[in-house]
Amino acid sequence: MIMRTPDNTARRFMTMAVLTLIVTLSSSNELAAQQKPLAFKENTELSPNNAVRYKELADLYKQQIADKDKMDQAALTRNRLMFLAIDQIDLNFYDFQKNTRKKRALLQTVLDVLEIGAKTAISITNGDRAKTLIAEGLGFLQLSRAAVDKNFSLRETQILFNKMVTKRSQVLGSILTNSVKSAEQYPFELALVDVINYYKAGTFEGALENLNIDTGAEANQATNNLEEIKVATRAELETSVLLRATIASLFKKLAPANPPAVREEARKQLKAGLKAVPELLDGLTPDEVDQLQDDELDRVYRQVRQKLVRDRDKMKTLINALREEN
Amino acid sequence: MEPSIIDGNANLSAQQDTLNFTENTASVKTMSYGIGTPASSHRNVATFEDVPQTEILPPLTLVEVTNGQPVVPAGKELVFVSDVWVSGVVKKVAGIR
Repeated sequence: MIMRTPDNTARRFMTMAVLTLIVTLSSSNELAAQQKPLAFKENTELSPNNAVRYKELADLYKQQIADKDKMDQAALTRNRLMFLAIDQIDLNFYDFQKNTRKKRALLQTVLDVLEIGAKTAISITNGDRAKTLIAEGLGFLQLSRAAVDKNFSLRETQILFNKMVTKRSQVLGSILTNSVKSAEQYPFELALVDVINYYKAGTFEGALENLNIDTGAEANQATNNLEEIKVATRAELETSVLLRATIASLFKKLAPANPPAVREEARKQLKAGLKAVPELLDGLTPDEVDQLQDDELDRVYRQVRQKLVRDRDKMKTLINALREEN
Repeated sequence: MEPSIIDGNANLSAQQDTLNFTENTASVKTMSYGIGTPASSHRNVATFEDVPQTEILPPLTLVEVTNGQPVVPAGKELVFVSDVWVSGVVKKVAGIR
């Protein structure tokens, strides 16, 4: 008879986890991305990564820019140099993006496999001690996973990639606009500034910088769009206390528990108040005010009161109208 | 009610009156109050939440917090503690109701 000891169970669990991991990782090769075309390889003559080709173009640009009759050709060669650099940056960026995603996916897969394996092992294992051991291992794994997610900032990485893609498109747009300029207006040295910005937009540092700038600008814009409340005087504060008390008293009388006559009287008073400040009613006519139901009265009063925060001259008019009916 | 700006060059008492004026007039309660952006603008931003028009809240009191935590009297509620422009200077202020 085979004895199931905690050691045997743990070993079996580890074997299962490792086997599953190997099967998963080996099958993931089937899903590998398409192969790089020949033109992208460094030893290809027209590859953007070919150093000889880049040097030839650079020499040609130097000759053309020195000759005043060849400024048009110089502008074309400048653009070719610029786009070679952009091609190289693009190739590197896609590799960088792919590798980062691959590492993240691999890490998550390993963690998934271990977690599923541990859960399965708990359900198929006999013996309390063995179950406890595996459960503790699972708890450790889940906590470790939370720590990895937190410290490697997986979600933030995707946000930064999104920012990189956006910023790269913006910089590329600016480069394309400048590419129609003459070699004198937009020499290669100046074009290189834009190319450097394009490169920087595809780095984590650049993305973080742009995220900070954009977030700050959006926050400033959001604050600029807010309306200012003028500082209130003591007299205005006192008037607001009276307004609140008067309106609260009337709305309380609208409660269904009150006799219909009391409710009807309060309704009439509230409507009279609204009619006294037509400028704040967004075109609501006196007849329409008379037709308002209690919930509509509540909504219109709320809108009117918000306007009174800025349009303070009407406060006393409203209070007087409400109190006159009293 | 939308968040609004209050001039941070005003003194604390005037800002307290302005928040209470707004609460009374618009039937709202202050949820947060603190310096707006850019920080150099001397503007404070207040956010509000609607309250029923039948309700009358106790007034909001602004207290400067000089060290540590604000002292909240028994029966009162701490609404916020934040950096606020007061007479053009950033101070830690607590809102108590």
